[in-house]
Amino acid sequence: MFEFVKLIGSPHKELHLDTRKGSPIRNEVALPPTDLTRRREQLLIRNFGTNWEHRCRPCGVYNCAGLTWASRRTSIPEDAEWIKILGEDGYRKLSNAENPLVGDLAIYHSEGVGFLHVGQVVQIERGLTAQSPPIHKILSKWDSSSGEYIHLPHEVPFKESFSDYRLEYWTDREA
Amino acid sequence: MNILDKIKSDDFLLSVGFELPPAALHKVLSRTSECAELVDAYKSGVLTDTTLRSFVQQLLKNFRPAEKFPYDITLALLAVSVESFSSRFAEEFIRDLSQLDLAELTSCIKVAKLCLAGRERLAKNEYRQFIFPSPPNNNYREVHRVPETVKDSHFENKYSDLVTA
Repeated sequence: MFEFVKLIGSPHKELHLDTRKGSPIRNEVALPPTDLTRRREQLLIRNFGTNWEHRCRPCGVYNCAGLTWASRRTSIPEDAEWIKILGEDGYRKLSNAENPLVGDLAIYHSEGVGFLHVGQVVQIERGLTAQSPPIHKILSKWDSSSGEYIHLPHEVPFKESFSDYRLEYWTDREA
Repeated sequence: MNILDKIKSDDFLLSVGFELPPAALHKVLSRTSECAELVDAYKSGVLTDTTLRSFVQQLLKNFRPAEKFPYDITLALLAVSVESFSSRFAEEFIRDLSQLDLAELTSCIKVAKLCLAGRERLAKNEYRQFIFPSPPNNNYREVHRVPETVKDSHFENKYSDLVTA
């Protein structure tokens, strides 16, 4: 059924990428965005991102995990690889008593589905009152053809499709 | 608008939002009304294997090398919709799609791999043949074709490929 596209298509470009323990990480360098993906992004911003702070224009190459773990060089689309990285790169989940710091990871997941997104804490602001918790700002790239945005933890585009999503903070700092 | 036109329309492609990780995208697509419509139409015979096959061929005419395929999500939705069917098209479409390695098709290949894994978990017919030692009466053995030794053979029937023991 796909003989023709197999002939003219290009195979995934993969970079050599390993965890700290040396296990290979499956990845693929994404193609640049198209008109359709740019229009999709505009719609996403209109629906969910009126408060997002724009960091850079839509581009291909990397996705959220590639931004976080591969220095914007490639995409890591499969969540099995995310689990491998968290395990082999010495990450731990922060307890409720610990506050995330700049550089920690914000990982969104949904019960029964798995990971939805990973972002990085890039800013921490004081809460509105002395008693309120600090406000974290997350740097995200929604997919391999979107731009980068800084946003509040709950300002995510999957909040309607996965209303049961949970946010966990992970760090590589020692306990 | 017919369901096949709907799933390749900009409205549908834009409504999916953005590329989620494969398991999440599979979930989102399986919850869409378009998926339910496709399943109903395929189940009732409104959509046939031939229609779907030519639909896929039409979509693939828009394939351009080194450019993201615009109907990537449409193919992923089609894979999710036919995942639980035992038709020849479903088997071939999901298997062939999951075996591709193309930079132009980002999500649909990974979703097809999940669909293939899902099909493996579906209920299967199992045939088990117990062959007992032959009774003293040799005639009985000939009539019922009971071999002399005890053997346990196991046959699996995946989907429509019937295996006859």
